[in-house]
Amino acid sequence: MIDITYYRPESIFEVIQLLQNTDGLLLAGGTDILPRIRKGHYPVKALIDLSRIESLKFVQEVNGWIEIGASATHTMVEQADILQKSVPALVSASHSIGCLQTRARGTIGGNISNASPAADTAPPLLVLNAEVVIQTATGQNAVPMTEFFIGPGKSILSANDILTSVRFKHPLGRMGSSFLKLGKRKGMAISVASVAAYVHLDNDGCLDEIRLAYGSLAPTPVRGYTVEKNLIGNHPTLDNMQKAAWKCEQDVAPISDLRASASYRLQAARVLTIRALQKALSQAEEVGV
Amino acid sequence: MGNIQVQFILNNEKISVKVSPGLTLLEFLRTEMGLTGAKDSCGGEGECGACTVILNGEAVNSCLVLIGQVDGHSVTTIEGLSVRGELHPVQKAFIEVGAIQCGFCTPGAVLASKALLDHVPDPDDDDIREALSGNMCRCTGYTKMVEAVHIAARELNNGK
Repeated sequence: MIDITYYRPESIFEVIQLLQNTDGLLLAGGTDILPRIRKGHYPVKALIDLSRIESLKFVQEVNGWIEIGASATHTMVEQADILQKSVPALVSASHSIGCLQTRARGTIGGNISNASPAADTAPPLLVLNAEVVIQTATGQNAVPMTEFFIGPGKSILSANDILTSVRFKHPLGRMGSSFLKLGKRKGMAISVASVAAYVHLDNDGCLDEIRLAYGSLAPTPVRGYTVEKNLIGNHPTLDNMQKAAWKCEQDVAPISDLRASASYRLQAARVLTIRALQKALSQAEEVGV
Repeated sequence: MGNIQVQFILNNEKISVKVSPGLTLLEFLRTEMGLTGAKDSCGGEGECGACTVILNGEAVNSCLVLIGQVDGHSVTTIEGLSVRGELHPVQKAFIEVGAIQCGFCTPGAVLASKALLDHVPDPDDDDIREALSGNMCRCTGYTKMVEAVHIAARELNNGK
C-alpha cells in the first residue's frame, strides 16, 4: 500500500484546479509511476487519477490531422485502423512497449510526459512532425515535439499543466514510416537504441521529405538532422543511405549504461538507420506514382 | 486521506467497498477479499505477470492498478474462471499437458491465455508467445503453455 491522498476528477477543468491547488501528480496508466512511487523515487503525497476522464481516450482524424488523446492506451494505438494504415512507425513503437498487460494500461500521454530518453512513442512522433497539446490554467498551447523534451525525465510541461493530446498531419501519398528498436530480449524490453524514419518520394523516386529520430541515444529523443540533410533530394540508394547513416554520430550522444556501451549504441544507430529507411521506403514504394 | 468508495464487478458479482485509495487491486484482492490466486512475484514492478487479472476483457497486471481505477469496471480473477465447480477449458488444458510446475505463475498465465482466446479464438504459436510474453515462468515451462493454449482453443471452438 502506498500512502497518498487520492483525487478522482471528472473533467479537465477539475484536473486543472487540482493541479493548482494541491501538490498532486497526474496518474494515467500507472505502469511507470506506481513502481517508482513504491521504490520511493518520487516523494509523492497526492495522485490525481485521470481514469474517469473519458474525453482523453480517443484516436480520431479531423480536417486532415490525426489526433490521439493522452489517455489512449498503447493497445488502442496499436489497434486503430487509421494508424495501422497511415503511420506504421507509431503502431510498431506502441507494440514494442512492455507486454500485453503493460500496453493495456500504459498511455501515449504518459509515455511522452515521462520524457524518458527511451520513450518508444517519441521517435515516431518526432518524425511525424507531431505537436503536443497542453492545457494550462489560462488556455491551450500546441508545442512542436521537437521543443517538448529538455533532458532525461524533463520536459517543458510545468507542474500545473496537463498534456491532453498529440496530433500530426495525416501523411499521404508516396510515403512510408517505420520504427525499429534494439532491445536485450523480445518481451518487456527497454530499448538499447531505437530509430524511427519517415520518407516521402517525389515522381522521380527521390526523397523530397525525410525525417529520422532516435531513442535511447541522447539525453532526450532527438531528430537526425544531419542524416536527413545528407539524403534530402537524393535517390535512396543503399550507397547514399550508408554514407548518410554514418553521419548520425553528429545527431546523437549515446552514453554507456547497464544496457549497452556508448560505442555499441552508436554502431547500432548506424545500422538501424539504414534498416529503418529501407523499411519506410518499402512502404512508400507500394504506393504508385 | 480517508477511505474511498469503490464499486465494481468482481467475478460476476457486484461489490461495493470502502477502502484505502493507496491499495493496489492486487493488494485488495489478496488482503481484503482473500483471493490469493493473483500473486506478487516481482514486487509491484509489472515485470512478471504473476498478478495478471482480466480487467474489462483485457489482461492487466493488478499490481499496477490502484483500487480506485477499477471503479465502475469488471474484474475477473482465477477464482472466477470455473463455472459451477467445473474448470475452464484453459485450466483443464494446462493440467492435461503439465503446464503447471511450481504453480506460482499459473493463475496469471491462465488468465493471459484466456484473454487471448477471447480476442483471438484460433491463435498461432506467435500469437500465444506474444500474449504470454509478460508472464514469467521461472520453471521455464513455456513450451507446454503454448501447447495448452492450442488444446484449449480447439476445445472452445468445438463447443461452438
